[in-house]
Amino acid sequence: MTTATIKPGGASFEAQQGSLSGFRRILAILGFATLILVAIIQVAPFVLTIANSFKCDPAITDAPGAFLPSPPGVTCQTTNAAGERQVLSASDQTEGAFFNPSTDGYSAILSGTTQSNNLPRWLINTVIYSVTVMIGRLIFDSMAGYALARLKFPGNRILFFIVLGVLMIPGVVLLIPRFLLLNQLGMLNSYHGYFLVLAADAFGIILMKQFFEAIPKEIEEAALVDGANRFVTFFRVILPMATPALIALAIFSFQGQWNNFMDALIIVGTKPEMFNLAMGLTVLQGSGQDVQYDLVLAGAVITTLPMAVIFFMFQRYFVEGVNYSGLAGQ
Amino acid sequence: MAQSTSQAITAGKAVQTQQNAKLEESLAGWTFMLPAAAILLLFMIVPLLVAGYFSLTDWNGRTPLTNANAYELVGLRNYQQLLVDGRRVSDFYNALKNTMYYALGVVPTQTALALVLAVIVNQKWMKFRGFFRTAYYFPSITSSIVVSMIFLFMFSATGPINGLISAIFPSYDPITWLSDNRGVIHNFLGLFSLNADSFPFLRDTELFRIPLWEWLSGPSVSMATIMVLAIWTTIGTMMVIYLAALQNIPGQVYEAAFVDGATNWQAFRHITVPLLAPTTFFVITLGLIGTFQVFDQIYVLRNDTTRDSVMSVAYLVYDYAFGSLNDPRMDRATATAITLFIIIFVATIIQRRVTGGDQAK
Amino acid sequence: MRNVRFVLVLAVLLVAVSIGVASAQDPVTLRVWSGASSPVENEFKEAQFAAFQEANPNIVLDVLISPDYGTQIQAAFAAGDYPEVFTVGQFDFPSYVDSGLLMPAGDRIVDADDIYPSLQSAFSDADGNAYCVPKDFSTLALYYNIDHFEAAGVEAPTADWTWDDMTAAAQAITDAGIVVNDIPVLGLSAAADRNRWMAFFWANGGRLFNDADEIVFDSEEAVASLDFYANFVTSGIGAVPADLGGAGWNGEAFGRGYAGMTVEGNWAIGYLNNDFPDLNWGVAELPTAPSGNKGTLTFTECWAVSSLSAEDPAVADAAWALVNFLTGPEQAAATGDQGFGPMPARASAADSWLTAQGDAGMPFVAGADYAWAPVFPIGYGDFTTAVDEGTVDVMTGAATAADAMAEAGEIAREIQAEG
Repeated sequence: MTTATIKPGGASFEAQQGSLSGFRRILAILGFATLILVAIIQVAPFVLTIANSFKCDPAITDAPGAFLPSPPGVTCQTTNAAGERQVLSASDQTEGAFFNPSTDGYSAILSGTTQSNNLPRWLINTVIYSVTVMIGRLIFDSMAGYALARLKFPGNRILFFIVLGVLMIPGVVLLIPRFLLLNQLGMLNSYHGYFLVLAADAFGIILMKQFFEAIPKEIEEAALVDGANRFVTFFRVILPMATPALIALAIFSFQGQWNNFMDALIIVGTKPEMFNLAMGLTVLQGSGQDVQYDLVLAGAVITTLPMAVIFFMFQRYFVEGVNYSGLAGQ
Repeated sequence: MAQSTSQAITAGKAVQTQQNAKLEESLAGWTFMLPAAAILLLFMIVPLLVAGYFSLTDWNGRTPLTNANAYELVGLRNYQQLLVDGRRVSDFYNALKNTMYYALGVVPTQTALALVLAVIVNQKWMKFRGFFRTAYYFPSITSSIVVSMIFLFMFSATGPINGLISAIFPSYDPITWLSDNRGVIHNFLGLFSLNADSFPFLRDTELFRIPLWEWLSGPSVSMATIMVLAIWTTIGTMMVIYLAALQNIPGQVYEAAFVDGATNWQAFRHITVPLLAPTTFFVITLGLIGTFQVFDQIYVLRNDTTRDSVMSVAYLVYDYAFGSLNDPRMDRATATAITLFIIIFVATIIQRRVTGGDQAK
Repeated sequence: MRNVRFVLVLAVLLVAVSIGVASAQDPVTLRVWSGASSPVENEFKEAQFAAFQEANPNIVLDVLISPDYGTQIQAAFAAGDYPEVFTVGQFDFPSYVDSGLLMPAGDRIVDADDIYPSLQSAFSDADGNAYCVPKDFSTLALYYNIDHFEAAGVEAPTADWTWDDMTAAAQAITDAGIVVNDIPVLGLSAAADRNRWMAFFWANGGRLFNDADEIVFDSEEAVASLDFYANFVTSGIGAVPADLGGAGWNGEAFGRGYAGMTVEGNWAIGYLNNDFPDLNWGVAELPTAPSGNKGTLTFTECWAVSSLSAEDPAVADAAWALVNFLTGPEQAAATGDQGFGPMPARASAADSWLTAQGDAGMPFVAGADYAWAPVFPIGYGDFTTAVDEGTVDVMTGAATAADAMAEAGEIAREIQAEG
């Protein structure tokens, strides 16, 4: 028996390419303009975030709209001859859409070595948490999703509703019970504790189930008739076909852990050396009315940029979705 | 004779093989489920049951459970006070009302927008696809604190949004978007000079200590603004789910359609949308569950003035458990959470029935 | 084989030695938890711990500066495994005592007379037993914009201002028609917050209970105070901060120059200096109420020793040594020198704080004499919710002060009747 051929080339309207009449060309240009407008709406806040992260607090609060940096660079706080502390005012830093950049927010974050300011450590922890959990979820969620989508076993349907139900639990209510449990199990403040608690999630399972259901049955049946072991079939044949879904799951799970505050607070929250970025930056930013905006924004840029890069890298794989050409039309 | 015997043997073997295969499949099913099921059971379901137990006690959430007198079992008293005859029974129903309007507004909008965006950025001919996808996903990865700061700026009385509206409609009286407690349906009726006094029945009839007129307020203006924020931030996620699903539609289907002379719109309408139906169903389910649990957005944009008009049920849980410093009520918080859980469960089942996605599975 | 034996012997020896060392020095480990504040303050706190550590090599500090203190400590309490030393806010204090989480101070507090009595009483039970040592505090006062006052031709507020003076000034500033960034300047930025207007409630003699333990929350004087405060908004000579250019809080609305006055705490001093260096502002004590009295609110935090520590005298001694170090006269003065928002809880350190803050600090220190910590008894959560809701209703014109306070009072009576 042959296994199905798998070749790249997902859904597209490429057949239409090249047949644009004049009127359609105008429509296409208008459409493209709309897309750019929407893109600007979606990205503008982040551009403003980057711009503002290079400003001093007065300019952030008073002139958040200035987004074009112009030399010279400035320092936010200086001490004058009389020993008085002077703060650079908004009007001194900005002019119209232009501003003089300052790196004070970044240097405050990057220079720290105290417990309440330890960016390198938080970054390493965050990477460990995000990567381990992502790998766990890619394996366990897709296995469970596959079982729910394709395997007939007693309890299948009930299990699906239980998993769906898990998705519906209001997270706030789990904080204390989870802490009690992890405390009993001695798993607080450990990497393995963090991994074990989060290595599978209901959302990922349902996402994968959804996608396995869309894969034609014939392919795996063909593989099974070949006499291959179910596990081998799953990892060698089925999983590669679910690449788009796995990419989506990888993005969601990495991003979820990268920004995860509440779970980290409960699982690894009482040992500062176990903090992740989200927790560390919250400590650093201060509380109540005493928020230091330049720090907040610099922190936001530091956490967001890696995610943006990772998403940009991952999203390319959506182009090369699978196509079951051997089975089309069946 | 001999033939029939051998037939019987073959049949028996077949039955046995079939049974073996069934057993093997069941075994495989459970083996595949095991790791995920164990994790969910231990770290989600057990804690939920523990919370459910707390909802039957009078535990404040602070007295150490190691103390002998930390709590007493009180049966369903917390539920009764929360839902039926408590002093402030309207707190829960007000939150429920806000949450329902929120879900009704957010789910359809974000689903439709995400679908359209996904189909567009999936076009082969499109230039800078990677840029657009990343751009549209950006709000999902921008920190929620920053997003709220930006929104406060955009929607402030003198902010760009009001500036834009004033430029188009010079007679516009600026709205303070994020601190306006008036319901949008009330506002709309107000355009026709209709108010509570126009409907004495609605004004004077109370359901759970909230007049019917208030039930029909629609989301408050501030809640509607928060809804815009929620849609803006979640479109990206939903778009990615759609993008992944679009990869599963065989290109040949479109090729065949275009050979038959279909237009782009027809292809979208009659191929893409139907083939994505299971995904849409999934996205709606997710959206519904997510919106009923809305907490983050409220947390960052709520202020003293809008405290009640943007209160959601999930926020109420937090407020009872951790917000009320001199009167912590873990018992009531857990009861609220369990109630919310049941409401979401019922709503999801209704949604699955109504949208018909259940029959396929 | 020989190697294995050697390793075993070595291991046994090592264990024996380490046990010996441990029992000889007998170090005590203290977990010390507090919430995060500003970066400068966090660093100062860490320096304090380091200084203590150096002076007490036998005590090991395991420090946590938490990003979400309330949630974390509540989880630790629930598990019955909580830190030996931790900070407590005034609003949490009654329920902590009730839940048996704190060790009574007895006579362990050093130089107790130096601590402002109004603060120590906020951390004592009904019988006057102290449980916790105040660390620092804030009070409310009246911030005013000097430029707006001059433009409107109004004299700057003084300590003997009355409520009527404040209303008249707000009216004059509003009428002056000053415009900043296209926004018409109003007299007062007035947050719809119970922890603002209750300063006037307290000053005018408003109380929750009278001497006979009856609920008098809706007394005439009490209603007058909410009427006075809400009137700024309802009559258009003031607004909530969100309606003043979409500000997030009073400090921002005031800092941007959209309001002539606001009622805020000393935490706003640093904020205004840092974010609005060009603003020309001053601070005065809150005006005198019709009752003839002054009043303000205080917000304070303390260092406590957990009840678990009481079980082991060595731990208890170490824990109290740390608390006394952190709250003692020397560290209080050091806190004052730093000039953070909050004021040191000791009268002896007031001067050092005032030197760091300048004239702006004076009204806040003065307020310590007549301040009230607005904390209600345990079990009155429904009541405070009703007050919060009523505050918004009155300030948006949806209810009268008399009705809203009567409703809250009614709920308080119900709670009291239930015991």
